[in-house]
Amino acid sequence: MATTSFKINIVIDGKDYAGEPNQTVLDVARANSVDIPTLCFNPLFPEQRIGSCRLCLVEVKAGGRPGLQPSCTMPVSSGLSVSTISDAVYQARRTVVELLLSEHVQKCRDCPVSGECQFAKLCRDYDINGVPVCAECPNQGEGCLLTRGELCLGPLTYANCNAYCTRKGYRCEGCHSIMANEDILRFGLKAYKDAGFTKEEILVAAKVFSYDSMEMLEKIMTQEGF
Amino acid sequence: MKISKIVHLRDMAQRGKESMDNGTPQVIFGLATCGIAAGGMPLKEYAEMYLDENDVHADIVSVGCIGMCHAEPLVDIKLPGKPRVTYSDMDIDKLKKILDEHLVGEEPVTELAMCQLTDEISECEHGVIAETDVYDGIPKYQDLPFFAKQIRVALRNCGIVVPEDIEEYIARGGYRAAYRSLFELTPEEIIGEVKTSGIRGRGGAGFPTGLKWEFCHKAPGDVKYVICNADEGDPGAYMDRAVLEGDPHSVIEGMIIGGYAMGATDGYIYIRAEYPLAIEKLKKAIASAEEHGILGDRVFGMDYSFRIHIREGAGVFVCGEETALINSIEGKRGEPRPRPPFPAVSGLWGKPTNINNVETWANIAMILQRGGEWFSTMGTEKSTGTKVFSLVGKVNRAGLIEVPMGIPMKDIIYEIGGGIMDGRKFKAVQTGGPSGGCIPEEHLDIPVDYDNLKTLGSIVGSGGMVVLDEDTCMVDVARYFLTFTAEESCGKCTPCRIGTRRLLEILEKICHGEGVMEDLEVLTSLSEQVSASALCALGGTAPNPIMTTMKYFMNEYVDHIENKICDASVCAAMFKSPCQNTCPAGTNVPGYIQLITEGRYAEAYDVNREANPFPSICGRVCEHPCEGRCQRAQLDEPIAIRELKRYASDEAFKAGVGKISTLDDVDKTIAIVGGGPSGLSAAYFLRRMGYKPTIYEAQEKMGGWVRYGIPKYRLPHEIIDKEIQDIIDLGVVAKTNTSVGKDITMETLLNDNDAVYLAIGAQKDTKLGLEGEELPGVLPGLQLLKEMNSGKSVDLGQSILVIGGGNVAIDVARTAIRMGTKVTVCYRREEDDMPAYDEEIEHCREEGVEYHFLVAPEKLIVEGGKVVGAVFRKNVMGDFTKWGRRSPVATDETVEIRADRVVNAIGQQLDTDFAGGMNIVGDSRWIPVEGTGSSAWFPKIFAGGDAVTGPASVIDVVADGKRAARNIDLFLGGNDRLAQLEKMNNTNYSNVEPDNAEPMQRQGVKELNADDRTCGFEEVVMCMDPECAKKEASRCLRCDLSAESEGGDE
Repeated sequence: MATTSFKINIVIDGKDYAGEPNQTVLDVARANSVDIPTLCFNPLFPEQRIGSCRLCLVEVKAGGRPGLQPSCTMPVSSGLSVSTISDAVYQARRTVVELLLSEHVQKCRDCPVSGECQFAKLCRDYDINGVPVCAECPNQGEGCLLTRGELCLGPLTYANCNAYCTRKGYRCEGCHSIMANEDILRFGLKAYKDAGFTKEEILVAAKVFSYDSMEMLEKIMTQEGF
Repeated sequence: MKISKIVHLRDMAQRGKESMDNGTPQVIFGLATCGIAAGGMPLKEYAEMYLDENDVHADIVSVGCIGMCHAEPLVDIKLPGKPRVTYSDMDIDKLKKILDEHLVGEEPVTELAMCQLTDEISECEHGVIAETDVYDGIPKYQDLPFFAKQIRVALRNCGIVVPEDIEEYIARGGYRAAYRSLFELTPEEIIGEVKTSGIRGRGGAGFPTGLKWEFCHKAPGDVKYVICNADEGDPGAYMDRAVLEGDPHSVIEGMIIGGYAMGATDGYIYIRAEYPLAIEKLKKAIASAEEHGILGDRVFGMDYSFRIHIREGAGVFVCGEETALINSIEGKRGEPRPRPPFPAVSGLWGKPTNINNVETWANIAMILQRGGEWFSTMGTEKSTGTKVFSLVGKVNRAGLIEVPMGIPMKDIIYEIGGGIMDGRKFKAVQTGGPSGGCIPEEHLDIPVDYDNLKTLGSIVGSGGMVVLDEDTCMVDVARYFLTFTAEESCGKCTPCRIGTRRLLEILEKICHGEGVMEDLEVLTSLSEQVSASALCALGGTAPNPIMTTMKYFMNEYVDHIENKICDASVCAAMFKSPCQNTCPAGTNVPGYIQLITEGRYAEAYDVNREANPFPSICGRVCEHPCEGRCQRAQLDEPIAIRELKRYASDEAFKAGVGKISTLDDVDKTIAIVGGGPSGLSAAYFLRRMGYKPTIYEAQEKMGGWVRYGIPKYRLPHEIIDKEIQDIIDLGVVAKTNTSVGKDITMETLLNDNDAVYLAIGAQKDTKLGLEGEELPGVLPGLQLLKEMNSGKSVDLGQSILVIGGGNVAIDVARTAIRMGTKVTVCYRREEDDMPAYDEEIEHCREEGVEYHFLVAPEKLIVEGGKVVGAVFRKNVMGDFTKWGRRSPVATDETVEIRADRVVNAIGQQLDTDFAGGMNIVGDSRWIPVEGTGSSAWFPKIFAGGDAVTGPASVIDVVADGKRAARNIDLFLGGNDRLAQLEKMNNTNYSNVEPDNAEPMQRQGVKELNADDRTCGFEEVVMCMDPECAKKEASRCLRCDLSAESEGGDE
């Protein structure tokens, strides 16, 4: 006889959803295509509820302890109402991404997941500047515009545009301006060296949108032996 | 013997009573960790040797900590049938004396005794000593201010019983509650009793214990656990250690009762391995409880088994968090688990588990014994019972205290703690360790309980209470706690792992003087985010120290960022040496002291003169705040900075001093109203910057308060003349006998000059407000002092009565006594409260002035149209206010004091006549100014000195004048010419770090003896002799060098 397990009704962002007794809020949300970002949650081992990255925080509005709670460890209970889109949730998640970014090496051009990078997507979703265009560009590696001889400014430029130009095959012109983080610049400049661009060429290209950063860029280029 | 009947308990109680008072004299040592650290062990060994050698029959007993950690090592002597007498601050010599006289000679040493234990303040059974046996002349325990407000429940046995001796514990009512609970009560009844008591978790969060027990009791499952959380890790907290070292059985008994009520078969005590003594005592206590059938199979012969296991933790702060603690017991990494599931449902090894703090467990037996109702009568409605606090930091009486909840914070700090050490000023009290916050002075009258502290942004926490004084930098405090939490963060969740580190980096940046104002916004928002989104309480509360210090001490953050000033002289990157940092005028103290050692006095004088135009005057009358921060004080005594300044200037005058550096002339004029030290200082710096200042002085001579307020025997007029002449010689125009408001109006000054500096002082006497004040016989103090000091003849009659306790009162008294008058000084508070300088109060007494304290004037006695004395209302000192002073309370008694003249010296006021029709003062008491010192309503007018701050010291008003000069320069478009001036002086002196850490006494100065003094106006304090001065100067540690070489690291 098929067991008809009883359902628990919860509210997410004002809409009713039904969940099974052993499910978490995250399970119910994912099952119903409500977007909740995660990093430490592993879909292959859903029973491992770690609760450490804090990206899945939701705000409990009713039926539980009020405040921010991680949805991946919060069991569904009747009467529970949570918000995944409140200001508090947005700010908390944004802080988490910012904090992670503050310790991130950002060697995006070498990273195997670049182009599909969850983290870069999070940065874009939460409006954080700090990763270069390469993190969002699917053309890295063999398809990189630099290796094809085009002076693409992707490695030096703030992302958050979803690499619109490079996806279409046009070089990045650096319209989001040169990044302020010297370490990232240093790393990005290596790509130009490999591709054989000169200091002057890069400076002329970068000057268009980043006139103020020229001094810093020039200094770093000199240090890097351009 | 196994205990299974109540008679067994009674038998053991009898034996315990005997062991505490068994006809043999006892020498009792307080040997908890604190006592051992204070040097108790060698004393005990000495006592053993003493008994051996002298063949004295006595027992040597070691007990736990009674709480008086400030007075350790403690040794008690108890003769049979007599009260136990406590001797504090023992050393071998004192110990020998008390053994000789008290133990052998049977007479207590009254002068060394601190107190005697007659009937205690502990809330448990105890014998009472008959009144006839009480010793005379030794205060009783409960009469000591340290104990008077305490109620000891959790600490009932600490320091009284031998910790591991089960019989003594039983003798004081122990295990009676456990026995009764198991035999007579159902688990529900026990939980009901705990709920009635209203006790909340003493570990920090304050969750109701009864409720917690009920959850665990109701949770389904055959196997359950109870845990005692003894992972005490807050800096400055040691309540749990003291309980476990002093009375481990109280915790065991609590756990048996809790285990039975919740149906647990096993209990765990999670204790850090850093507490070896506590572990040792616990193990002994558990073993003896097992031996007596109180733990193990069939507790008290009942059908209930309960075992207690000890788990030693590695001293990880996060393991104080209950889920991390459970992980650690299970042998996993000590990381918190997400909740739900809560431990009451799924805790240790997935079984229902209840965790309570040591102190909570120690209270349980008393709740069951005396009833929940009794417990709930103590404390406040929502926070019942008592709480143990470890009161540490800069208080006179640090120690472990137990007070009812709801006691005002001021009572803890000032009555129990005895106020701030070394007479320093209170700044904040830090409660709750790294998870707590700082409470400033204005909130000291709050009743201490869970909810009140929470509203202030702090927490009760486990009970650490660290008192901070003015030498503490609050940014540094926040930095310190964040260093702790960033290090102790387990790293599991992002906000705590990375967030605390980013917060710490920002704080370090600010402490290194590299902060920007935007950092404060980041600190605020990141703090809020971290505390809202962290996994466990460690991260959730980690920003509390930042948030509370920012809430109450924002000015210090702003000072660090905008002005690069650390007032407390803590953040080493911001200053060269603590003395220079503390000097309001910023005098380069190590520099001139070095020059004195090199015998270059004129240059030493010049280094002084760079920062302050009156080295010689300040060398005599400066309040020397610098000496209060002198690092030498940590070795022996502070350097005599003021006396050295005087020595250098006296020597320099003999040799002659040159001209001070100046800048090119600027064609701008500044009018300075008032020729006192502040006005002269402003003129001095403005002139050196090239401006053209004119001073308008109402009196005949320049000098203001320094000339007319300070008697000649403290400050000879030649000195004043010399230093003022040097300023005039720079090209300052001085117009004496010109009173602004009378001879020339403010409007004219404002029209004719580019800026005006008001340094008019506080020249009016505050009125007594009594009938007959206008009649002859009443003299206003300030006016009198002015007349006496300018050499006018004043008629004081045969005797005068001075009302007031400030410097004016004392100066009047000392001047009058030199004129052969009998002087009485009346003050409404106690001597310690007098605002006058301590040394002067003492000088005054030596010279024959009679003091009356605690008397407030009520009526003037008028006879024949003349005042001939006053009637005073006698005061007593009442409770402490939150400002740390007791307020006088009037009594029914009055006292009549007669004298030929009554001098009113109760206070000073601003004389507003200068302003004419201009609204410069408004309704304020003093002249209101903006941050730059410019008038609130007239940007061209600057003001400083007493007229802005109220009566202040010479160096403060000199610094005000200097600040005004800088701000006037900036206002007039100058390019910070003061900074240019400062750069011009580059006197070279040796910068070799001295090797002088050997203790060396501070060199004293000679004073005229009191008889010689009263005959005339000769200077009382004499100059140092050259040998002394050189010696004294060589004591300087040259902190300025170490600050440079360390590059500003902490």
